[in-house]
Amino acid sequence: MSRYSSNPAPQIVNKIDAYLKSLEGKSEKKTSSGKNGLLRSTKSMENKNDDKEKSPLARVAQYVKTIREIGDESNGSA
Amino acid sequence: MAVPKLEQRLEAPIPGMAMTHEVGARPWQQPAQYPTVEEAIQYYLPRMQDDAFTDSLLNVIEMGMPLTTLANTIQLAGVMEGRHSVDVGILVMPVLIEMMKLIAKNEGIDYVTGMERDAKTETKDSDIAAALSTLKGDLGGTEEGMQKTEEMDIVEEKDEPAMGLMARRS
Repeated sequence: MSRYSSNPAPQIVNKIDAYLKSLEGKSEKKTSSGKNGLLRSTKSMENKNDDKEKSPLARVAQYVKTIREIGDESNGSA
Repeated sequence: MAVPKLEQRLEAPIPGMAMTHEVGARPWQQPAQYPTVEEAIQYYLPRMQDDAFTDSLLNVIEMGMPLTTLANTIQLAGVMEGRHSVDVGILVMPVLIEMMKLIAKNEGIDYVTGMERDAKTETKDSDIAAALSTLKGDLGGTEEGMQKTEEMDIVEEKDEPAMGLMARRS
């Protein structure tokens, strides 16, 4: 593949793959809750996550993930 | 004020504009039919499951056409038809590629994604370093040899006599 190709598809596919991998990594991590320290953040982190999930890349990644899961299921059953 | 003048200048017709089509007459100059990623995906997915489309798609995939190229062509056609904008088309491409992979896998057809690294054509950094060291060896083993050749090139350029009417006489 040429490094200077005019086709943007490989780049966007790589971005989606990276995003999906990061999501997998996050699901494995334990979420810390119930911090009571004086220096704890008072802002809710849920809003930030919502913004990320609402981004077009995340929405597309959800579709890609669903299609991959369908493909894996059909290959597993076949 | 300077602002209204600037606006007028921006609205002025581009030279040669009259010889092209009217602005807004082309489908891609109209508001997109499917402005969001979801709507564009909902437009493409049922069409990709159509038997006629699947048959021709599988033929093209079997010929070795990369899926990334196919996805780009499909989304560009969508942009030209005014279905969606260019940026929505780019975002839709991974879904198209994934769908094509799924169709090809279900039919047991090998596909080329277009993202495979070709070890044969790829130039490695080590190859470049080896070629440079060989060149250095041919020129006397040191960087002085390379510098000398560069100087010789410059001298040759200077030796060319000035031929023009306006050339400066020394």
